[in-house]
Amino acid sequence: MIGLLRAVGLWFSPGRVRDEGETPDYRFSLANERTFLAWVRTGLALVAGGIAVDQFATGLDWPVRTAIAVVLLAGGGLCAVRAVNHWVRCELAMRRRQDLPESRFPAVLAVGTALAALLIAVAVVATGAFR
Amino acid sequence: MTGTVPPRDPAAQPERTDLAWRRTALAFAAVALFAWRAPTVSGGATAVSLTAAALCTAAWVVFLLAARGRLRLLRARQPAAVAGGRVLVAAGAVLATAAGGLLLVLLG
Repeated sequence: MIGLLRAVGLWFSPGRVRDEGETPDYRFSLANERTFLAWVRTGLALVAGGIAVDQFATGLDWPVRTAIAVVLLAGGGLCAVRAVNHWVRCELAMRRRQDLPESRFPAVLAVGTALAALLIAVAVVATGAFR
Repeated sequence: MTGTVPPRDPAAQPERTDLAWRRTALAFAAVALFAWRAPTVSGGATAVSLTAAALCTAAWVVFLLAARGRLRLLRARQPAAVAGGRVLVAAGAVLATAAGGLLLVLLG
């Protein structure tokens, strides 16, 4: 919890990251940056999915369609936030020569994505949403 | 071989990072464009749907500016790590796009 609060503090004054430890090999930092961008794209894909459900699954009832779309959009926002958090934590760990942070987030996201896909498949088959 | 030139980057790291920014900007463009479907094709051009689409587009432009600045820095031989502020701006642009999507879905 304290680690989380510290990390949140660092999101808003990320310049402090450079005060910690020593600068690692620039290639490691660039790899961390690309991982950050990959999470940004994951978030964007979820946002696009949310808009797509709203735009194309018009055969679904409004509450169902909106609920799925909102979950996808919120997931996209969450990915963006988590992208910053993970970038900060990895950058700090590298500067302090510590192990990279562990995270359950990818597994949670994978399970969530699988459940969402199942839910949408059931909804589509049950209601003929895309007809 | 003068000895003053640093060895070639064996994994083309700056170039790969450059391309990562570019493909993220491209994906962002697709999302921003997609947000215009509601006010133009499927629904009416309501104040809410236009605002949402404009918000997504503005977020994309902000991301493009952040990416452009970073691409310039990545031309260095051994680029410094990305600045935290740029990371925040990039993620904030995605958050704004998600907010635009929520606006579209809930009120559009």
